Amino acid sequence: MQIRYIVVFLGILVTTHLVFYCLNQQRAVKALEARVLTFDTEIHGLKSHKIQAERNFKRLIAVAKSIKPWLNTGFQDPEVGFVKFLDFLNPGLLKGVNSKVTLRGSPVFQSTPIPLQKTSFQVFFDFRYPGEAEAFLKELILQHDYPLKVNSAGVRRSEGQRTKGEINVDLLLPASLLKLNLDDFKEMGV
Amino acid sequence: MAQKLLSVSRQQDRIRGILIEKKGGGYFAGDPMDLSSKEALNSACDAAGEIYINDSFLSAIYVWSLFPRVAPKHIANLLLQDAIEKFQSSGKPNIGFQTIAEVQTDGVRQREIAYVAMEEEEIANLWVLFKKFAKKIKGITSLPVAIAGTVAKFEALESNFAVAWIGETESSITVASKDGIVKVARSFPFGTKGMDPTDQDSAKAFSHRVDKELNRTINFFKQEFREPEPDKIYIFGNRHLESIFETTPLSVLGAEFYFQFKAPLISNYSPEDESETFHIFSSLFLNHHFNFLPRKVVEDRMVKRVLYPSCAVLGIAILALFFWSSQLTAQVDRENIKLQERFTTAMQLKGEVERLEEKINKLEPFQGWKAFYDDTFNDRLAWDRIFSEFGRQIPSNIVLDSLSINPGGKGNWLANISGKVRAPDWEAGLDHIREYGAKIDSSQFFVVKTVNYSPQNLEERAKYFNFNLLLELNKMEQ
Repeated sequence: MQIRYIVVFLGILVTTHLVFYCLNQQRAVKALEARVLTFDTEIHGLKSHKIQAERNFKRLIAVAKSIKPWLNTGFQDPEVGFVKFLDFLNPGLLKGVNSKVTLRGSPVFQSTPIPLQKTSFQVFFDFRYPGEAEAFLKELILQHDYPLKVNSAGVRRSEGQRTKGEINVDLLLPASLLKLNLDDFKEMGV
Repeated sequence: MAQKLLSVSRQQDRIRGILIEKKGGGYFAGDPMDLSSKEALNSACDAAGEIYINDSFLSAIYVWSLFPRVAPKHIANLLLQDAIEKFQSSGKPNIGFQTIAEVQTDGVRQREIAYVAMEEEEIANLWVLFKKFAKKIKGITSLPVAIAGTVAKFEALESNFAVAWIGETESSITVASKDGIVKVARSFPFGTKGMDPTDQDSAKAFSHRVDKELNRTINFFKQEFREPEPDKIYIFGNRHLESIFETTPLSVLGAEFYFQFKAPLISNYSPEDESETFHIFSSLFLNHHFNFLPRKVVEDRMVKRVLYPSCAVLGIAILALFFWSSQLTAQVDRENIKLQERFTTAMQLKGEVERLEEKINKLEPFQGWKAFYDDTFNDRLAWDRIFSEFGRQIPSNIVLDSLSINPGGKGNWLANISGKVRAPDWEAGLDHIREYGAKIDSSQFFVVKTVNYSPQNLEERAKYFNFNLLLELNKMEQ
């Protein structure tokens, strides 16, 4: 075979090889572009997710900061807390307004907003001057040791210029202690 | 500079040639050269850019005939078979042909084809002489084809014509169609050699011989083709031919005789020079259908005509593809880098988001604790001041019966107060209530939402009117 035919044959071979190589490269470029596009979309999603997470984190940090001093006071076991509360309702506290405390039902457990033990009480009292009632209510409700939630309250004019009052409260004692420790707070900048 | 063309004619091993230049629309020729020697031939061929050759090719046969109508690609083979039969030879002749027309004979469509066939060996013998300059050789043809073609090209012809070339020892008479395609061609070993134009007897004998050969040829033509004799006869060769045939006229009936062209073909030649060198420069004007370059050379040139452009196209394609592939490779690299960057960014972001999520998950319980804190310690009413605040606002003519405080459902507290107002009439009572309502509303703890007011006992002297107030309680400021 003449050399020129061999050259042409080789030329065709090289051309074919190059064509296939180029087509393959072109396919590779398209596939890479598609993957880059997918990553772009993912990055966009992750950025928004990050912004949202950062906002959420800041909000939660603010929440944590706002209750940090209170949390640092610590909580006790619900049973112990309940007994202590009963001790708190001592005759001295109740005597001034002739009050009577009734336990309504037995303690129940709730899972929200945190796991807790709820005990409902009904407190009856009467008074002649508003100051007497206010002193009693301040001591009973506006203390910082026993988490009480007032459900309703009412006063009604009674005989002999006295007024009868009734207040329904729930004693809410956390059933489990908060798991975060001080190191966790520090780590998160709280 | 215009390219020089070498036009060559060979008769009986004598080679003569002329170098011709084509410029400004005309042909300018040098002196005729005897190229019989190798040195002279090489020198002339060296000087030329293109070479055109004619030869007597005494073995050539000229056929003008009807052939079955076959596909164009089979015509050459059909003519080859016909030529082999006519040659009675086992060799493969070289054939040049031209389709004249399609005719219908007895309802059968046929092709009228003129072909010239000659022994390949005869062409090879000629080719050997010029082999060194093979690339320059553009055409090889027979003398009758060359001279008939030249006359047809430059003379306005309307019918068959005859052209006679009278050489020194060899002459040729050709009858051709108006397009210059040979119908009958005869060569005979007779010429002007030994003829003395000044000797009347010699010239007369010469004229008679030419006349005889001319008539013989034309009669053969008339018998063969059943067509009238040519009306124009061109005679070229010796410069004295015209005067010889004027003295002793030729006897072909009804024919006009021409000894030169109407207009000069070679601009720097006289008509006599043209006549004498006609057989040499006529190679230039060959009909390309009857170019008898060796079959191998034609095939080789054909291959080159296809091969070289193909190689060029392939070369360009390879270069373009190389360029494209390099571009694509660079693009792939760029895309890979981009992909790597995106991947790193995505992984970084993913890590950051995961770390944030982890922190958020740890902080999530604080929400519950915050809600718990708000419910129990934070959002509390000012229980230590509510009653005294009420008491401070109550005028002497108003008596409160009851006060109930309940959650409003929207995180607020509502207080419902019912009582009585003592007043002389309903309107005065209303005024008192309004006054009382305004006082309560001015307190930081209460916002009056609604007021219900109605008379109780209009018969009694001291009149009491019932009222009912709905208040919204503000929470204690921490």
